[in-house]
Parts: sequence; structure tokens; C-alpha cells
Amino acid sequence: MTATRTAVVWCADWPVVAAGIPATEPAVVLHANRVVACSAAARAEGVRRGLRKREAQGRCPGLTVVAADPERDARAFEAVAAAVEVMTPRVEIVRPGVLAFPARGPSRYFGGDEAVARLALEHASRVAGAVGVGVADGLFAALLAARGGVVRAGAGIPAPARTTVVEPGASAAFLAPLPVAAFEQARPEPDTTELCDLLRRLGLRTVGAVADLPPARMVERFGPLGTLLSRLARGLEERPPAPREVPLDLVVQIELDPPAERVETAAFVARTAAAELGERLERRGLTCTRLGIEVVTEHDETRARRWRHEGGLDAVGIADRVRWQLDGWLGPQVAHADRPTGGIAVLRLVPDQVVADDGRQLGFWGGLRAVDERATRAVARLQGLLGPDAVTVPERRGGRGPGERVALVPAHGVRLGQPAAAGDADRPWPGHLPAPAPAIVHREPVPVELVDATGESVRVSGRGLLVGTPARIPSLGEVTGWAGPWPCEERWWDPAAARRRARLQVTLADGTAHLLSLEAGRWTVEATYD
Amino acid sequence: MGWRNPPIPWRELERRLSSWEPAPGVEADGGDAPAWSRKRAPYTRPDSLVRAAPSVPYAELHCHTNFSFLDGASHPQELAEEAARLGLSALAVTDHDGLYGIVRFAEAAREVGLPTVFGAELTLGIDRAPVGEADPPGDHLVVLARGPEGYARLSRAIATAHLRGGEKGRPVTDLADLADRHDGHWQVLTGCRKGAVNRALVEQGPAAGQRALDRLVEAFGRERVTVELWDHGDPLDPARNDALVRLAMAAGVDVVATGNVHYATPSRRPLATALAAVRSRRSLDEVEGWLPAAAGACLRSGAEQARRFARSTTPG
Repeated sequence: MTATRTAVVWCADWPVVAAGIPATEPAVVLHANRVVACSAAARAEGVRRGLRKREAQGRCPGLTVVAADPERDARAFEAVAAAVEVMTPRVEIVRPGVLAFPARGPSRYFGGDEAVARLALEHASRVAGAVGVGVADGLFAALLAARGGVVRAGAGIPAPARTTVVEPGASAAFLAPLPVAAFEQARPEPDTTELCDLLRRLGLRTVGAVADLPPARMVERFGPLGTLLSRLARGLEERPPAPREVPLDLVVQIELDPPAERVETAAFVARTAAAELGERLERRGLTCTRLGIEVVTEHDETRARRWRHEGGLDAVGIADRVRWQLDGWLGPQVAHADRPTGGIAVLRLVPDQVVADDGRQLGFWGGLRAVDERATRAVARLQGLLGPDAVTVPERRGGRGPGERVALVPAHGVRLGQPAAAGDADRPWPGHLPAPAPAIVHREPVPVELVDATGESVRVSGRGLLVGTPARIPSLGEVTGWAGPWPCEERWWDPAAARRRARLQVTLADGTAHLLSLEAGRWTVEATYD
Repeated sequence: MGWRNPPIPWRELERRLSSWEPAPGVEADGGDAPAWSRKRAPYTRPDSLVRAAPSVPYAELHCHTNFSFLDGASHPQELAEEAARLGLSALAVTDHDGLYGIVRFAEAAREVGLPTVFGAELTLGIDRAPVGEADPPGDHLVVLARGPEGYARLSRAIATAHLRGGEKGRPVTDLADLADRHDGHWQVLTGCRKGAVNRALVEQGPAAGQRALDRLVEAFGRERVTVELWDHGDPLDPARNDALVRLAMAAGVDVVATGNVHYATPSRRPLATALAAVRSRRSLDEVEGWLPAAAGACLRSGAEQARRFARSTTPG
């Protein structure tokens, strides 16, 4: 079965256009000090994606620099989507800058793919800068066609205002000569970039070379991502057609009372709805590859938009898109005539297409897992809410005591997703506290007394032996057993940090266990085992 | 260490750290290097030294003097005196790959009335001189001479190993070589943390430890191998000793408690750690993760060892 006939509208350098900069002005959009997009004028001066800010400015001194803002991109793109929507109701936003719609119906109505492409170009060009439109079998081929077969805008400036139509059944042939970097266009995620790089190093330089490989080999070696790339390369849909009815109970509908007039209010509710949908999907082991966002205002006006996402949207991704979309409908940039007249009364999230969540493939040599990624994003969210220094993550350290082996460090200084360890963590540290580690390390050690049967204080001699037999901790209870003492004399060369102490593990009659520490003649509870 | 340290000769640094007073009557330099014409003054026993009557008989069989360069932190005389003070039945000197410390030790031991054992801790299977490494490579094996013949054979084995290595600090020998040389005149201890048996036990588990012990038994004979136990107050020492006892029982060899001594008294620990830092060519801060937690490697009396090992066998 061949792929769905799809039309793609591609807006060149969308982040730049969204920032409101004309294409004739040299400008770049930066994220993390790297160029993520540049205007045609800047490209003519030799500015490329991936350059550092300073390198870019070096090549093009008059450069306008704008910070990346996905929300701005999404907000502005709503105008393009609305412009194309006059032709067909089934517009899907793939990502800000790229939208797609099924071409079969419009093509019959307007008289051929060429006509559809020209019309879409006309509508989109009115609101966006340089636009390309492609029609082909499958989203991937159509997207590349829209880009005029240019994978990476290199030396040549992509000619604006062009349409490319790939004949039915010719998608695979159209894709075959393109370099493997084309896959990144279909799925701009780090794992795709990595895999493309690997494919190149393995000698698979073109999409055609990947298509020639047996699909079974691809899945064997590269997992789900390999399957995906193999399917894309052969001009098929990203996933095998799965006529799965979307279960009705996945639709999340939230009624807002009173209706939300402002984006912020609606977005707040949307976050709850997104979390709800994410949880429902997760419970069924599904992920959403196409999401419909619908609102109904108090005056019964409706707005609806579909978002596609190849990797599948999780709760955070859903929340992002809903916020962007609400911004696109209600944001301050929207002309008065286009605005809904009333506040939003109903918000509905409709998972339009769901697939089984098969997780992400682990890198061949380990690497990021989906869970790590989720944790990373959660930490980033918290940092946004609480401030960068307020969020700390544990890091393994070297040391002998229970409180020294792990330290909390600000999350922004750490590469999340990798087990963090200071340089000295892997040294042997003779005499360190053996596993299992105590569950509670008291921030302020609790002073206690340790006495023998006659009530005399138990001490540790200078030669590391107990003086007296531990019998009781008056504030905690009878001692039933102990291990140690383990003397620990650290850093005698550093008067500020020198410590001499001895540790003793004790179990008490009530079943609890504690780690005691004797320093300067005083016992404290340093940690408690659970 | 910064760049502004004054140029201090090694002997001065060592003298200051160990607060070793030069023998009276020796001027300027107390060294006894061959180029120095003065003869070393004979050892004189301090008047205050009283040899204690031991309550628990105990001989220390694993002890490094400062002739184990950058490892031991006490002079042979100091160790002999301390051993006498503690009332040890005997003290064995087992320096790394050499018998260097024995002359001074024997002199002092005779003066203080301490029975002696001579031996060495041999290093097996190193391929390079361990310069500037925090944890030098190679398996250790403690060899004690059982009488003059054993001493001669040990001395020959060490000399041959050093000649074979052709480089300072790199003796080349292996178990098969040593097995040919002992002829029943040696007593072999399994050694410290870096002994083959301990290393196999800790890194690969009891089965590997057993195999390592069996190899020693095969090379030296069941009667001539002894499994060494020590307790420096490390949390894991008792558990390791228990495991070693099980290995020894399975192999049918004896066990012996030692102190794996590197200095006479706990007060020498700062010196010992400074030496470890110099050996590994790191600052004390950098080498901290390899340093023992406390001053465990000192000489101990029989009674003290008995208390430590009593705890070892009845944990908690």
C-alpha cells in the first residue's frame, strides 16, 4: 500500500520570519549561542546553521541577532495555517514552519496536484516569506519536495515561491539520491541526527542506500528508529497503516467556567488537560502522533487545529503545543477581525492518531533513555518555576562518611541524564562506610550518649578500640549489637578540615539501626538506617 | 605543592617529618652512604626502654621498616624498641623485595633482647617500575626465612629477581621460580591487601581466592603456607578475615594474625601518608582517596591483637 498523497507547505527560515525580520535583512536566530536559523541575506554572506554567535557576526558584521523562541514561532505560524485552511479543513501543523494536508480531496476539487500546490503557495505566500510547496506520496517525500530537494540550505539560496510535484509512486525514486541528512527533516530530534551521522560513517550516504537495505536488518541493528528510517526511505508512511479506532474515552474535554479570555488563563487549564491526556495515553501504552486541539467559545465559535509529531507526544509535548496554539488564536498579535468574540468555554484535546508506545531505542552503547529525558525536562521545568539555583541534583563524591559520598549540586551545572560523579568518586577511599548506605543522614548530627551497663560513658581509645561495652543510649534505647569502632582520621595536613573521629554501627532493641560518630569525646547520631 | 617550596634535600625532609635525631657526635650529616667516610655509630639502647612481660604471646610477622622506600615510616631501631616495649615474642622484618633493613634491625633487636625473624615481601608479576602510581601494580607475597638456609635462598631469589629486571624497582620473578628455590626453608604468608589470595577473593570472589591459595599450596607445600589475617579498623576487615579463614580451612592451611605494620606507633601516620603522597607523586589532597582511614598499621601487643580479632570472629 502506498503512502497517502500529501501536500506540504514549507516556510523557509521560519524562525527568522516569525521574528518579523524581512528576508532581505541579514539576521540569525540563536539558541544556546548556536545559529538555529538564518535569513537568506545572512546565508548569502556565509552564515550557516550551527555556527557560534561570534563566528556568524564575523562573517556578516551587520547581523541582527534574535533569541530563539518556539512559542513565537508557533504563534506566528497560526496565520499561515489559517491562510491554507481556506482550501482544505484538514490542515495539520507538523512543526512551526511546516504544515501538511492530505492532497487527494483538494486535488480532485481544484483539478490536479499542480493546481493545489500553486493555490497553496499563493495562499501561504500572502502571510509568510519564502514558501515552498511539495506534493508527493507520504509526508517525508512531500516535505523534501517542498524544499525543492534541497536538504540543507547550503551555498545556494533556496528559490522562494516554487512548487514541486512528485508523481504518484515516484516518491522512492525522488528520495533515493538525497543524502541521509534528509531524515533529520522528517524527524528533527537528536537521536535522528546521531543515527544519520552513524549511517554516513557506515558508508550509507544516500536515502536510496538505506532503502536498499533489508528492513529486517535495519530494525535488528537500529531498533524502532531504524524501522522508521527504512520505511521513510522506501517512500512509505512512517508507520504501517493501523486502522485503529481512537478510543473515545481518550478525548479530554474541559469546560471553563467562567470562560477564559486570556491566553494565560486558558493555558493553565490546558496544562491540566494535557497532563490528563498524557496519563490516559500512558495507561493504555499509547502515544499520540497526531493531536487535535479544539476550542469552543462562549458564543459557540469553534477553532480546531491538528498537530503532528513523529516521535509521539508526551504530556509535556502536548502542553507545549496547546499553549502555542492558544497563543496563536488569542495572542496579542492576532488581528481583531480574526479573534474569537468570546472567551474560551470548552477546550478539547482529541488524539487523532495514536500508536503503541514502543519506547525509544537505547543507544547501541547505552545512552539516554526516555526516562532520563523526562527527568531532564522535569528538572528544566522546575528550574523555570523556582530559579536555576533552587533545583539541585545528587552527585557522587569521594569520601568516607555517609554524608560525604553524595552531594547536592545545582542542576544547571550538571549534564543531566548521565550519572554525575566528581573526579574523586571512583577512588578506593579505604575505610569508607560499607553498603548498605543509611537511609537518613542527619543534617545536624543528633548528640547522644552511649553508656555501658554501669552507666559509664563508652569511649574509643587512641589505638582504635572501644573502652567499655555499649549497653544503652539513654535517649534512644537498649543497644542490642554493634560493629566497629571504625576510626577515621582525615586531612591532618589541613587544620581547617582536619577531623578525627570513630564510627560505630549500633542496633537497638526497637529494631532500628544507627551510625554513631564519636568526635572530640562526644557521640552523635550521624545517620540512621531504615 | 607549589613552586615556592625551598629546596629541601630528602634526608632533611625525612628527618624533620620523623623528628629523628642524628646520633650524637655526628656533625653536619648523619648519613651512612658509602661516600661518607664516617662509620655509623653503633646502636645504643635507650635507658628508658623496659621490655614488657607479655600477657598474650604474640610475634609480629609482617612489618615494613623505612627501608621499604616510601612505604614504611619507621626506622628498624624504632620498630625493635617498640616491639620490646609491647612485649612481643618476636618481630619479623619484611621489606619490599629486599633485606636492606635487616642489619640495623638485628643490631637493635640484639640490644633490646628481641627475637628476630627475617623475611621480605616479594612483588610478583610487575612489568614496569611503579613510579608515581597511587596503587602500584603486582601481587605481593610475604616470605619468611626458616633459618640461615632459608635466608640464603631468599637472598639469592631476590638478587636474581633484581638482576633479571635490569632496572631499579623492577624485580622479575614468579611463583614457579620461587617454587624451585625454597626447598622447604621458607614460610610463606598470603600477604596484605595486594596478596594474590586477597586480591582474587575481593575482586573475583571466594572460588577465585581458593584457586589462588591452592596455587600457593602447590608451590610451597601445605605446611609452609599460612593465610594472613589483619585488622586495621576498616569496616570491611572483619568480613574479609572471616572469608579468609574459610578459605584456609578449606585448603587445610593455618591462619596467622599480623598487623601488616608500616610504622611503630600511630603518631607516625602523618609521615606514612606524606610518604604515600611522595610515592604517588600527588599532593596529599590528591592522594586522599587512596590513604587508609586511620593509623591502623602500627605495632600492636598480643593483648591488643587478641581484642581486635575477638571482635572479628564475633561480629556485632
